Amino acid sequence: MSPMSLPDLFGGFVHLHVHSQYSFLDGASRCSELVARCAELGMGAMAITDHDNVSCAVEFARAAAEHGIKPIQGVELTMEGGAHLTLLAENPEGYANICNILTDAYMNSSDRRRPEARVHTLERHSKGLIALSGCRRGAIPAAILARQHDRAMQAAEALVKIFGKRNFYIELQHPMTPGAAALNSALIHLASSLGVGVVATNNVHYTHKSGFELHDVLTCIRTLTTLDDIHPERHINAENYLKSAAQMRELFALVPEAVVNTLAIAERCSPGLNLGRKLFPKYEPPAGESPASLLRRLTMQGAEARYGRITQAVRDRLEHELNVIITLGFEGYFLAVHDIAAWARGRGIRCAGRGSAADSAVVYCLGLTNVDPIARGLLFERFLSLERAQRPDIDIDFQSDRRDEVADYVYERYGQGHVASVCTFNTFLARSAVRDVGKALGIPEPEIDRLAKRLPHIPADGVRAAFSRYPELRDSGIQPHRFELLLDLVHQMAGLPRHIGTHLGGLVISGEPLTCVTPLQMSAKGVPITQFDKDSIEELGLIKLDLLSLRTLCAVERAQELIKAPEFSYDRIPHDDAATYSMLQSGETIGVFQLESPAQRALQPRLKADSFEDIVASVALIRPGPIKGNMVEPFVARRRGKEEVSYVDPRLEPILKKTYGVVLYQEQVIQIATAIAGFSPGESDRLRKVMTHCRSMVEMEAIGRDFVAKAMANGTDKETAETIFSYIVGYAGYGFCEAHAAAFADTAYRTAYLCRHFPAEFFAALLSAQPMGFYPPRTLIVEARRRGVRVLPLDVNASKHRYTVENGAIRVGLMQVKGISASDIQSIEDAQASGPFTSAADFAARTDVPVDVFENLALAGAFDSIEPNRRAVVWAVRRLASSSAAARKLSSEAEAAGQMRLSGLEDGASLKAHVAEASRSIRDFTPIQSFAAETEILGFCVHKHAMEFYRSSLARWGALTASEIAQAKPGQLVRAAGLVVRPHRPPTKSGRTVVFLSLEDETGLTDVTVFESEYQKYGAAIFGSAALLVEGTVCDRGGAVSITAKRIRPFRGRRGHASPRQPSASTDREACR
Amino acid sequence: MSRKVERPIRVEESTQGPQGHPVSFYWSGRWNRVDAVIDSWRECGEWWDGAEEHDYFLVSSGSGCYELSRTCHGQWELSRIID
Repeated sequence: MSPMSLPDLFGGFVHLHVHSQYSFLDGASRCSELVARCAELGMGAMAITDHDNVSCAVEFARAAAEHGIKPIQGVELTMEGGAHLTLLAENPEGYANICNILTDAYMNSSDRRRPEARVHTLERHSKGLIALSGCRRGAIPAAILARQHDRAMQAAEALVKIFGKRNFYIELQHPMTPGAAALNSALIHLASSLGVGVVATNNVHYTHKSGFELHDVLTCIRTLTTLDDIHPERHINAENYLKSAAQMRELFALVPEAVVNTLAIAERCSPGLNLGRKLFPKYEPPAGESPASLLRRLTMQGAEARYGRITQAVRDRLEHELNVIITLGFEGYFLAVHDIAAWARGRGIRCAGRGSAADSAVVYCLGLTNVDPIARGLLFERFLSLERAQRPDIDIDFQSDRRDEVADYVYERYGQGHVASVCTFNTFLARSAVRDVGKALGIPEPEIDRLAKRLPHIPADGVRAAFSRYPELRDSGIQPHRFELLLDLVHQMAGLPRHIGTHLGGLVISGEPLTCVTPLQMSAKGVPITQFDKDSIEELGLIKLDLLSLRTLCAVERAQELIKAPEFSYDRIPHDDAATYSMLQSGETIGVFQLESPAQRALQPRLKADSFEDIVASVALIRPGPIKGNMVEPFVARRRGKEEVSYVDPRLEPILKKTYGVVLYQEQVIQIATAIAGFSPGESDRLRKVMTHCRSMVEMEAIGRDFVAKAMANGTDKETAETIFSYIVGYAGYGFCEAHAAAFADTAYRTAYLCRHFPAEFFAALLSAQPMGFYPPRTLIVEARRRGVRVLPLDVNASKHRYTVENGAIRVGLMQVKGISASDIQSIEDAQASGPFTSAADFAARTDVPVDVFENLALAGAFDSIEPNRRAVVWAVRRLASSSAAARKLSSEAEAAGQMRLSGLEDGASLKAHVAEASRSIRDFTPIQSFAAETEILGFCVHKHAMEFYRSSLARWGALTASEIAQAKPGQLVRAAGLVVRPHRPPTKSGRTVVFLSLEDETGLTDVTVFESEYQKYGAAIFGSAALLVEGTVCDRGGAVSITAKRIRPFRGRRGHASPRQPSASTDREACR
Repeated sequence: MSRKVERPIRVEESTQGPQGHPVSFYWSGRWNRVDAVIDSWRECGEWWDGAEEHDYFLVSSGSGCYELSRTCHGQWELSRIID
């Protein structure tokens, strides 16, 4: 069939050059919108050709299948020298070649963000590809525009040589820009000379004409310009949208074959992605074994270690799980994960599994998790089932400072090209969208900054509602027309990806080279990443493994090192320590993993946890879902015996007994569906997953009808079945994975034990592992003190890299000093090894730290034990540092030349004398000046808390300290003052805004609740102030004391500053320069 | 060399061939026949300040070149004269 006689295939025209949202900051429409519009226009096929990536491929294939159109995978490639070339995959081989070309382009370019494809790579990987000459930035059109027609012809001939005449087309576009018609004439003439076809495209960057405005703003963001600037990459009109076949025919009325050829190309192409493949990791077992037999052997060995005697119940469970794993072909994956964890443990790297993998007894026996799912009655089907046949996804936390060693092992062991990190797409949220769009609109930076900082962390399309709801966002100060435009554009950007990044811990290990399904490119961290994120990676046939970093494990390891009790082992902490539970019941859980937030601290005294099960429930309860679903109060009431527990059906009792009749865990949803409606566990888990992603009431009602019908067939009456379904409807979306909660609860309990029994070591370890947790170092120091632990100041002789424990007291570590580097610390520690420093001059002579770090050490009081006057040391720092550096340089030069050291330079004694003289003549810092300097350098002051400076005036005002408020009577009207800690607005069951914050003073924390009406009055103060004065009534909920705020105002201390900052410390530094 | 004019004018548009192209325009007291449309393009202008879309036509007429523009409401203007 000749092209000119093609029937009206695919609706008469096919768009072969289209950019989705994955052309970052250049594609203004989502793939789903483009595909839907394509189907609406009656077009039966479309290509997606994003800039240097195929990240849209899986999403595109899915959307195309839903709309019944043929997806053609493609790319707009950047060649060496910057020219563009459009490539379309004719078949899976062509798609794989695109992946190889892109990988080569990224890996061999000098800038990892700017790939450059090389001609010889095209030559090696040209099979299955159709090339189009590209937009105006293509080599051929660019040469014509530069009036270099010979060069244009040479470029065209080169491409014909690579792809062949049948697989190369000259691309014609008519974007209605100056010179477009003339360019097309020249291109048509060139095509005719070469004997190649022409094809019409529209270089689509947005779905509808109205998308141009967003595209223009994205271009400004990309080119760092404003709308008022001119830039060659900005389009001058709104013509690059998905035009109809009729529109394209009209545009190319003089070249109808350019339109017909789009149909011919589309007809030739078959889908490039083969989504049914299995690219699971291959694990080579020892001779004589298969991967399956090896997995079985390791599991049974592990079971003996875990259980001692393997009962029939354990054996049956393990056999069932192994059969599912092997039937689905995942044995290589499990063996690989076991190998990685074993390697890590062999090198003393602490790790702990989490997530739904803790539902698996095989995983437990392989030593990957510490939760016994058989003892807990956890369902394997929540993790893996034959019915869902989903990929297993095992997450393992490693101590954060050594996680990268594990990743390096994986790359080395399983082969470069077979291992890569999974990418992630950093999308526009409210703050980032407001910043970027604000700049593009030319709004002054201070105004944008003020606005963005006050926005909560919400999606971009929540901004308009946030502005009307949150008082601290009112009065933006931006001109109304621009403000409206800002809101409108920010709303449109919701969810658009801004750039590609690296998933925190996700790795794929493939049995085949990864480039058969995904290009690889280098991340900022220097590791190869896929171009597909975790949502698409499974559909490509890959399995992901999460190697995560958990700073808590770092803290645990550090605490273990600091605890000098030889009989202590973190791994052998008993699970029934009464003192630990007593501490949890008091709500004193700052520092405890998962249990330290204000909401957890308020829950614990009410819950009165006295078993591990209670901790598991705590972890699952304080989540947005259970809070909004009103699960917390009934659970607590039933747990405390204040509300009767009843079951609408006796079959629910064994399932819900451990949670007092409340549906809390996802596994319970599965068990209920199995017991009541007769589903198999795998079917039940599929039901749970569907309900979790349910988008409409209509859909949910359909599921409900099916459930009730099956329940009735299984012997349940209709009313009971409907009631039970209403329970699981509410909780299916919110319920937490019990296995994950149990895995976290294990670490939570153990850290609580450390906190209770070894507070000095525990808090020193937490401080060494910062940044982590809910609270800043300053608050942890207050808490440690509150527990009776002394905190010793920074000291050049006593302080080491990290925080240490000296006779039960915490010593501040050198790491806390602002601007200090690892090599600076090493220099100090090396010098410490040869004897204590006797003076600042001695320190200068024996170490090699930069002058600003030296200054910071002085300001933070590191020399207080050897120099009487801190300010004098600060004054002398520059002179000490430069003299010592000069002396060292001349000394080493003299030594190298075999000469005597030159005399005449200041020696240590004279420098020391200089400091002593300064100490006599310069008045030392006042307490407030010392405080201010230390706080600036360390983030806190060891000797004094900010609020102590104002205690007497606060007392006159009637303010109580945190420790006094903890003893106050419920209902009492009180006043409090403190530094603001973590104000936040979590979702509430009423939907109204409630703000929770803590006020920190020298005695501890006071929790404050601010309801909607007070929030509307004082929101700006809450989120804009470093310290607050609060009046309110004391509320005591089961021992958890807080203040319900009635009046709030910023606390500015003396001289209008929120904390006692004085300018003198910085004046001193300026004077010394 | 070109000079800005930016004055409303009357234009006769084509009814055959490319729709909407200028065929003649009234300037300097007479109708000027368009010999050829050398180029045409479309611009959105400063849309963020409410500007409308314009179509532009670079035409030759007699011995001169003229840049004509038309808004989306069909109002014509002589933008520039190119000497």
